[in-house]
Amino acid sequence: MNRSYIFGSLWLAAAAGALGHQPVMDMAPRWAGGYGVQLFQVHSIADDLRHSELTLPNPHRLGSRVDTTWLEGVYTFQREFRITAKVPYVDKSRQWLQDGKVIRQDGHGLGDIIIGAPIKKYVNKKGYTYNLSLTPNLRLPTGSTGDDWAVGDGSWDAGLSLSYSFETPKWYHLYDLYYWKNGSGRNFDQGDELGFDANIGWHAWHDGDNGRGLFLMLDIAARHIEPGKNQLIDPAGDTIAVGPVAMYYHEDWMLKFEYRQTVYDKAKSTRFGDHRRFAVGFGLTF
Amino acid sequence: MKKLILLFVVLPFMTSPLAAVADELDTPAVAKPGEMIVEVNGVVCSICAKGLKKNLAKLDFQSPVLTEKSGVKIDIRSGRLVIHRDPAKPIDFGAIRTAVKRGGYDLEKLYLHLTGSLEEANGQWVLAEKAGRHKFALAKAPAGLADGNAVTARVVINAKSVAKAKPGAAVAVEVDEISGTNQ
Repeated sequence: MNRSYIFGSLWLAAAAGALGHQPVMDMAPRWAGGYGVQLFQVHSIADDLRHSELTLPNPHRLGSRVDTTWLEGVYTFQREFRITAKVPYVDKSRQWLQDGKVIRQDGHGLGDIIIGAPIKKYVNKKGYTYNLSLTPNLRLPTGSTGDDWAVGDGSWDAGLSLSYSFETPKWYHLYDLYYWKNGSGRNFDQGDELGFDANIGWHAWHDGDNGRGLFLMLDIAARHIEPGKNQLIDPAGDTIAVGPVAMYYHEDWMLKFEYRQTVYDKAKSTRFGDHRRFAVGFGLTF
Repeated sequence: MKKLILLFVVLPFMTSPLAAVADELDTPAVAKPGEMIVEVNGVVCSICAKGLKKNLAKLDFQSPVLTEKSGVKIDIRSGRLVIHRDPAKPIDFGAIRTAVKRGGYDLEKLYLHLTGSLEEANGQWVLAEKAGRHKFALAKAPAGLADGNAVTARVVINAKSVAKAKPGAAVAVEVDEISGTNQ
């Protein structure tokens, strides 16, 4: 079987581990010697077919599902410098048309680990704080390349993100612009990716005596993916997805719920569309 | 691609003004007897201030009983944390600055409630704390009070004075309120 038909899109797995967001919940720890862990469960589904800006008929009910469990950690050396690691476990399946027949492909296992080193410049003022962050990232070829729908592509990838965060007791904003340069894979090449993430939020409730609170946010994720090579389904194109986020915290721990829906989708070639993403995360800081 | 970059540049500037109406609580801090209020710039959420609270809780001039009972309280609207001081123990101003810095923030001011006596020498007024070993240099002569008077006072120490504080030397303070006491 032609390998180009065996291996395919990692778009959903890549999107789940968006470069822009760092543990723990993009908020902590900013204290020297602090560290944290975060578990994120992401469920993504897509059941439309897109070509350019058109939704195509889908009589065979082709679609995909990707479940990724992210185990993430962070250590803060000092507020200006920390190191992060994100380890994914992927379980996914999809149905596609090949030679006129519906095929099903699955993949599961350890995905590509991402190491990041955020460098931050904080400005603290009375009533607000903001920071600029530059984060170089490396995505390691730890994902298995052996399944029908391979979890990894066997390439070393480098990324860089520039982010800006502004917070007051009532409002929270985070904006991140990032770029992934994808290396040559074992059997196929994934296209480079430019992304923009924004979280625009409201600190809806705070109980200072007990260290509890709730953030409600709007999540915006825009992506531009370049065409790759030898991919069964090329994720290339432009997308914008939006959705709500709720984050509850109590002293040392945080619980986050996210939902995101594609609202704009321009595909370079025929691929899945109408992506919906659900995520729940739990984080602890020490 | 250009639209993405444009969005990143434009969106923060469009939405930050909404947030920039910082609803800081601009009321004066009132330190009660035994309290030190630490005012910190940038503290806007309690989860982000966890390390700061932990560092302040370890300062060894605190009252262990009161600290264990009440903990370090934080008010994110004003950026103020309350710790409980044992007046018999010397304040380590350097340790306070380090605790705040390593907590990820910047010190703005300290507010203290003091009990002691006034001393005047060559036009310089100093409040010598009764139980502790500290002397606080007042910016101007306290109205209606004389050398040797027993007083209570609420004072503010700004970040520059904290940075300049040396063991044995008087720390420069601004007086919010000072009154004589009967002894």
